[in-house]
Amino acid sequence: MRAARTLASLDEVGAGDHVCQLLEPGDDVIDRSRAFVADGALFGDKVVIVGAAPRVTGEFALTVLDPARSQGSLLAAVRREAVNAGREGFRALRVLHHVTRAAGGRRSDDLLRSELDLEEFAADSGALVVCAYSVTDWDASTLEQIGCVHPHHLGSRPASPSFQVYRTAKDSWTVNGVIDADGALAFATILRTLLAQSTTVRLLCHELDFFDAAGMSALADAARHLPERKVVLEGTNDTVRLAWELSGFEGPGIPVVMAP
Amino acid sequence: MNRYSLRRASASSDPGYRHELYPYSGPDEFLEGTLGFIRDALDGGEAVVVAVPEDKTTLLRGELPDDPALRYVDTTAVAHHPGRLIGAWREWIDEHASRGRPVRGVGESAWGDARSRVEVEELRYHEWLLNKAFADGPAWWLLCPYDVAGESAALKQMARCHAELRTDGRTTPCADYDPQAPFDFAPLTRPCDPYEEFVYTRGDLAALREKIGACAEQLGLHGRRLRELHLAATEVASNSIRYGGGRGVLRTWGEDRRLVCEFRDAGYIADPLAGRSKPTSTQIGGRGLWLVHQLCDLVEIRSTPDTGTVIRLHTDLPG
Repeated sequence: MRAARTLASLDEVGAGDHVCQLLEPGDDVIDRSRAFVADGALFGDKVVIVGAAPRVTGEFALTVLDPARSQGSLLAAVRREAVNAGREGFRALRVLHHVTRAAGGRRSDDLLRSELDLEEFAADSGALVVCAYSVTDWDASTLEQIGCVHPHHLGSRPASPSFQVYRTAKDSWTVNGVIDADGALAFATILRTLLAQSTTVRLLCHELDFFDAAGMSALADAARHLPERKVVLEGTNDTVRLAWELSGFEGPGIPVVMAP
Repeated sequence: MNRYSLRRASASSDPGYRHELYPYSGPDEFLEGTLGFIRDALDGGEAVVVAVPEDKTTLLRGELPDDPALRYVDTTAVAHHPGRLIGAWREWIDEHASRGRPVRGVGESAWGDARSRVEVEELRYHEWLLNKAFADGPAWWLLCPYDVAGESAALKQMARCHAELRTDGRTTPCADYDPQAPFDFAPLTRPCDPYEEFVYTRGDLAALREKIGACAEQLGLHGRRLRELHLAATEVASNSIRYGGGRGVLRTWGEDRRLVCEFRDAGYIADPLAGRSKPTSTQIGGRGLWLVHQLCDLVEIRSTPDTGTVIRLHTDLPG
């Protein structure tokens, strides 16, 4: 079972991890991620860097995927590399994703979608994925949202999102932490993304400490948005279930099931 | 059946919502006034909802035969929670009305069992709010028996909340009632010393819950009740941040076996009925204060355009 955790260094990255790494001003992504990339050779992993070609590539055997030049989605390209890695005899795929703003900027909900794709990919394939974000390139609110869909965090200022949504099994996602007015927008975007991809989204809420009316409204709106889909929340406490009922959301018009 | 299927008020023949005060003293007078009211309704083919304390229900049951048009409702869950009573009345009359027949109600709050002066004040405010809640229909007639021999009896104040008065079986206009007059709130009590104070703004909701949790811990409040208080407090503080000038001040203290959390901000709640009716599933927003009333034991709201808003959440302490 995957679990959320904070890493002291990239040496601790293991199979299936999806790490959010925050880069301080002046940090070079390769310098800061050298251990992760170098460990590819040590463990027999294929290393893929997603982003513009790094400054120094000669010292490592690696493949570079430049999203600006690649055809199709990032996820499709990474999946192809994972298949190739298996065929080529590598133990696993090791992805360093240096996330930069494309021309014209990137919307935070697009970023969330992309990161949820990578989260699912890491969990299901066992790939090791590190996503590096420069704190100078992104505003605090976007970084907070991005942190929500990474179960693992690293950095001198590790992101501590108020809640996290991460893949736990083939058909379920764990939700932990606090979902209140501050995080409701991100939660809504995450839910809509998940609902767009599967008919039933199963959220394991045993570690969800707090869920307020704004979060519940976000859940109801997302579920209403795609009524032929269903959201099942397991492990909700009696307060969450009571508030859901009191809020008037319980009923056939909103395909959400709340279970203890 | 929803409330709009009830017969609506018409300007000429239908008086709309009628809110009648029935001052009485002792069980005999209670029965005398209420039995006449109920029998008139049943004889006229009207439905009746009775929401009175258990001892009064027993008295009425002893005098009236079972009748499908007469329903006694259980007020246990709402009797001491004035903020829940309007929502409860809406549900009771919606459930009981059928085929468009008129509805009457007999409603007596638990004045004698009120646990504090604050509860009495909020019960009286509820009586005043009823006039606004049902002003635009549906048409129904609520008789409020009021025991003038009770310890907390304040007939003149109650008369200001009722358009009509029942005396000796006759209904007359209530001279003290002015539908345009604001409610005459008693001043809020002073916070008990020592109290904790915390200024909150965007990003502080978690810290605010921690502050409340620390105070609750000291007073022995935890588990489900604390989670419910956290939820209610978050709704109020979120409203401060969104609508109350972006910030607010929290104060917490213990008082008479209750934890009180007070929120002050610069916002104004224009609708005195905010949070008093159950939201629909499709309603956008407007759930916060409803949840607050449902989750807290008692809620005080004071709001004016000049002085801003003060909301006090009272939570009974265990033991």
